[in-house]
Amino acid sequence: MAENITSDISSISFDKFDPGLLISIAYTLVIAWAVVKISGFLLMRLSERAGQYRIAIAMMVPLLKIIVYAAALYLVIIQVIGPSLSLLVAFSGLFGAAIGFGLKDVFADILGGLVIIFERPFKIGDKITVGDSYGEVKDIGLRATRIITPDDSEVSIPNFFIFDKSVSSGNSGSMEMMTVTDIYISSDSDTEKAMRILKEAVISSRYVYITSNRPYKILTKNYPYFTGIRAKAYVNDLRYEFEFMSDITVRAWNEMKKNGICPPLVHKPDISVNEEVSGRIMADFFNGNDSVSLKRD
Amino acid sequence: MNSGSDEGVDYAGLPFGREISEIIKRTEIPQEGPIKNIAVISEPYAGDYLIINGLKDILKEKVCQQNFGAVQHKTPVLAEICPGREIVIIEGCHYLFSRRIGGYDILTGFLKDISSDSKIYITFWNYFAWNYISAATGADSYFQKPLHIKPAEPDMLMDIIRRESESKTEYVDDRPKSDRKRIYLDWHDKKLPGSEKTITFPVPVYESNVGEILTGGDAEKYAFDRIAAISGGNLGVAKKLWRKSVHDNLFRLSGISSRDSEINLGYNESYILLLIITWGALSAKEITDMTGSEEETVAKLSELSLHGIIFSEGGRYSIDPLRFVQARDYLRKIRLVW
Repeated sequence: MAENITSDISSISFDKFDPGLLISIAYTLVIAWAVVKISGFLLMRLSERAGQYRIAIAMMVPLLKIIVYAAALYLVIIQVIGPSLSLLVAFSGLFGAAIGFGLKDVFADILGGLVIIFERPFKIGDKITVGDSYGEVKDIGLRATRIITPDDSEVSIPNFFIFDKSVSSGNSGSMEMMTVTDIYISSDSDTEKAMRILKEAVISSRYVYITSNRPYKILTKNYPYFTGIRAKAYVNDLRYEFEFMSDITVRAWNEMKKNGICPPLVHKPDISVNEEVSGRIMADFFNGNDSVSLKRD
Repeated sequence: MNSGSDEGVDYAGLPFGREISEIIKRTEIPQEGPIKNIAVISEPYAGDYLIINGLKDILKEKVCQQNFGAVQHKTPVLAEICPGREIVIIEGCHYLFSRRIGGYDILTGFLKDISSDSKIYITFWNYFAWNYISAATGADSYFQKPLHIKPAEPDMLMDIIRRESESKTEYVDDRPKSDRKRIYLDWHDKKLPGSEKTITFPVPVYESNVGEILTGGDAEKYAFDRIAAISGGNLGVAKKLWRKSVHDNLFRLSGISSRDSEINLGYNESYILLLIITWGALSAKEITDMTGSEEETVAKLSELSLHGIIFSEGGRYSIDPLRFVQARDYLRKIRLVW
């Protein structure tokens, strides 16, 4: 066997390389690239029009990529070394050495990509959190996965990194996704009324999705200086996640104010102990100011 | 002549005989312990009025009817509704709530009131409103198992439309060759062995009658098969489709068409369409109360009217029956209804 491989390798004559072969290889790769791009584009267009089947159709894109590129690679190998088994074995050895020496990370990414595609910890269109990044998966490539963050930045995450880290998917392939909206009210406000208002803000939202399998929940928790009310509900399309949360918050607060429910009372410690600044906690939160102190009741 | 199945033979001569029979059975033997009230669920234009008329004819002086045709702003006083009657039919119960903060109190109060009242309430609900309000507030827990009106069969549609049309209609098979071949899905019901459950499954059917010209009863049957398929068995939609194809008492088979421009709307327009489909008919003010913005409501209503999806009658906006199936499927696709 070893003798066969040696003789087969020695029979490959690089000085006899036909320019036609190079053109043929280039042609195969260009065709593969074009097929992937065109069919990927068409599938993504179709998925955008498919409503609830958007994610299922989008997931065909990475599978198609693998199939087309694998077929192209196979054709290239066949063209270069022919269909001899011994040459394939020899080629695999060289390939392994290449991975070991220099292309280790690239192949780790490709393997990570294959695992993602077949194991499906998330799908194209899902909202995922990987490390510090959160966003909608736009593409699962062979080397990296691209996500679009809520700020519309594109983040490219190497597949091996995803493979190696814990990933959380907000919707697991469904269009609907659980969102959590928190509202904080002063401790002396009527918590029951506030919960009812928040509940009705959730169920009357134009973005809500409620079924027996996708219920909503209104929870409350007492903190030392204020009361937190949390709404857990599904948005009908994960792309409206932030609109849903804003809609709930704005309408709930409008109604709460009408019903005498106030935000937590806070004061600036360096100005006056008795000065109450309603709503200041939120402003400080958005300004990233940690030096907020809450007034005791 | 029944809708979906052959059950309920007691009132088989009436349209929706199965449903009428089931409702009467439930009023006689209240099920599920103390829960006696009945919820009847149907899509807009499904033909509730035929069930209500049938019930009134059968139950006579035991029953009377109350109708809510607009969003209610105060809880109905039960003592004022049909005093002295055993059974009360309430049409348009979805008008007892409004999709806004504070818009659910009247419904909740009403459901509690009718649960503790001695009368039996047969309540009629819009299908989309029912699905929403049951999931959002648990309204279904106040009723016996809801009764869903099944899509009407072609025979039933034919019978109702024949009865309601003023003159005899002749059916003419003038279909082009391309329309004489078709592949369609025929839905069948099958009872699962060892279970009471019935599953509905599609069977693809290829039909070709290129050389055949349908006449008389065959042409009429073909027309109603097609109308039933396009309308999804919805009576109001079927009636509109039928009227669209009839000119001078002549029904041309080539006139039956489901081809309409595809609905593709922005999210806020879709939401207003959802509100209209959920309540059946709403005024601009009622919609504004739910959307919170008069400007948006006016603009979107005007766009939906321009698209020919909705129409206004007496200041109330309803969905055009001919666009109903498309609109319903579109809202389902974008997950605004479920």
